[in-house]
Amino acid sequence: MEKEELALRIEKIRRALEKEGIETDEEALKKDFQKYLDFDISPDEAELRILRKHGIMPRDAARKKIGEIGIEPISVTVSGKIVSINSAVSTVDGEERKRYYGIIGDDTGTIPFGAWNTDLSNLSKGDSVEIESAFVREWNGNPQLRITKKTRIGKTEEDFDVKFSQRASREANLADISERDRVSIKARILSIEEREITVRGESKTIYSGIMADESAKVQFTAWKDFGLKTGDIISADGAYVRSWKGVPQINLDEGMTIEKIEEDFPTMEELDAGKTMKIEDAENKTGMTDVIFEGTAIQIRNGSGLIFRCPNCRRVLQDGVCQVHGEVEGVPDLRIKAVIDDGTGAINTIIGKALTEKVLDKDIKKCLKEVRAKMDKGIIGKQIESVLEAMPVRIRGNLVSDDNGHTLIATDIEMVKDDPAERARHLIEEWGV
Amino acid sequence: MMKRELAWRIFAEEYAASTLVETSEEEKSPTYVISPLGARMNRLFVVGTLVEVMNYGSDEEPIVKAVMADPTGHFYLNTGQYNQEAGFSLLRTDVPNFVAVVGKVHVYEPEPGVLRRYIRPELVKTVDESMRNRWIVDTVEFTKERIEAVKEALALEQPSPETLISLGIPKRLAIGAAKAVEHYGDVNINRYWSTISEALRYVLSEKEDETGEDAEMEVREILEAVAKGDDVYWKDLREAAKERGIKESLLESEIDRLIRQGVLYERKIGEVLRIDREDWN
Repeated sequence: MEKEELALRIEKIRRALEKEGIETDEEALKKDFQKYLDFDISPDEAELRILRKHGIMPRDAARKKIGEIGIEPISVTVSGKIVSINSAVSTVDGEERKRYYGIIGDDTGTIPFGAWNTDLSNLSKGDSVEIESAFVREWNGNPQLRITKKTRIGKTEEDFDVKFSQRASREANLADISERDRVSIKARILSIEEREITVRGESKTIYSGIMADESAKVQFTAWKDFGLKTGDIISADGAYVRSWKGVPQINLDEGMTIEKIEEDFPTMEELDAGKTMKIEDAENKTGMTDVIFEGTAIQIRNGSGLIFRCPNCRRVLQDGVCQVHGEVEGVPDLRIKAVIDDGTGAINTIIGKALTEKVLDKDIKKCLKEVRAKMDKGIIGKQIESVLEAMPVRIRGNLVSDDNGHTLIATDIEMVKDDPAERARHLIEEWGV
Repeated sequence: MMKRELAWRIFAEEYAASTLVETSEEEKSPTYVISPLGARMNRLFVVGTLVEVMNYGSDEEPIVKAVMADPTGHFYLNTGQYNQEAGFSLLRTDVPNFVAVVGKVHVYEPEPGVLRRYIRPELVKTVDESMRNRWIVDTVEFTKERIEAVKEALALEQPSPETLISLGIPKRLAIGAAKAVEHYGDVNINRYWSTISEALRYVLSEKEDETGEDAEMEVREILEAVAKGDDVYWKDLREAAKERGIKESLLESEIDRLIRQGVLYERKIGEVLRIDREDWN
């Protein structure tokens, strides 16, 4: 960098700092600035970083159309319409914090935004806003807007015909999507149903169901009527992924274009049959819809069998006492908590009442009768152990995850009955051993 | 969150041949036994015939040592105060019986250079023959998978888990395979191929082996013919069988049957058999 140019820069920074009442040593400033340059940082960014280090968010934020925003870390002012807005609570240093994130768009494009320390509860989807002095940062090669304390947001009357940016979406298999992705997918609608929901006091019709490609099934929600029907094969560009308990779900937003396509695609039956997978392949996923594992029930956990739940909160009672509601009249329920191990990995499963009845081949009434006759609540658990423990099972369900790891919420279970001799003969032939 | 240790399916022969133990100074970190085929085990799931149960403790506080057999050898089980429930289960089980056992690896070194491998059962359950057979076939499949992982590792000049994973070996096997090759050197893969072959025939033997008695007589004759004293070298045995036109697989399944009957035992696995004269006739 030329000496004169450098001097001008330093002077500019010094004055900006002075305006905020910050005295600085020119030499120290020069040294600091040079250090950024030595690490291949552009002069513009170096200037910005130094100002920010001193707590100054440059006011002369560039007014930009959303489609023009690049990945340079600058401050911008944009106007647009909120395409989506969500909040999430996370714990930082033991303190609960609510952060907001979403997408804003104008007639040139869309961009994700996020706010860690700013309350955006007054903003809703569909609002037109002007966002002044938001900071652009890069994430996975795409720009995002970071809303900080210095950012001002005001609602406007302007309307926008939002053009969705294509830059952020990538082609993906349904097995390969994760939270906050924007993806371009091809899938067949396996089921769809209309639902009425209430969004901030207003009732709205949405469409939700299951879609699938060769790799996986995924739940989806369409936020407007795209005219989708069971069996349709669709191509959707820019679908937004959100997760529930780690299970990715596809959102088809209002502004999206969805095409119905006709091409070779697995049939409804093939897709519906579900995928049997190895547990080790599931371990690196945060969640999955409708998967099948085949393994051995190597442990039946405590708390399996006949339990009593609090009629108010469904918590399991300990000796007739709910930890929140005290002594209550318990509602009987059946469940199994088991560990399934297929030799490649192990996974916790929860098997609810209907399936537990199937495993035991009797209903809860009969279980209650037996328990009363024997005066022993534990006998049902013992029966479950005798039927399931060390036995090969095929278990189907939704894989969810939280801080305690993975759990398969079972939707079906059956004992595996194959003929070992048949398999042995087959292997001898196949391997020539 | 601690990841739950998976339960390895492994034949007694491979477990008994394991001499590599991985422990860590860190508290509560698991012990692993790494087999010649790279199974890096903390927990096992095995099914076989419970052949012996002994209580060295009291009725209330049992300390149980038990032996179970699979088609390839024996597993040694022990229980104490930490897995008393399993001890009671073993004591309740009639011997012999088919049992399924889930348990943790437990190694004991009574003197330097001598390693005893046990299983500390977490679960003992009586099962039927078809469950036992199913386990054998499952274990054959897992053994073959491990043979292939170790084969890949042996083919590499410097096998690292990362290289093995990049070759498509599951992570579950890659770490153990790399360590196994480093520790055991040139693993005798052929031996485990015969294990697989024998185990599969073992599952079929009850159903298909109708010429059993003739074959047994003939194999006994060969054994007598090639025995040096009570020792029979596998090499001699194979040659003699070949001359008489007996298929190797038949020879092996017959020898296996004789071992199960207790008239033969492997003095040096894969090399020397010894005839137990007391039970021979």
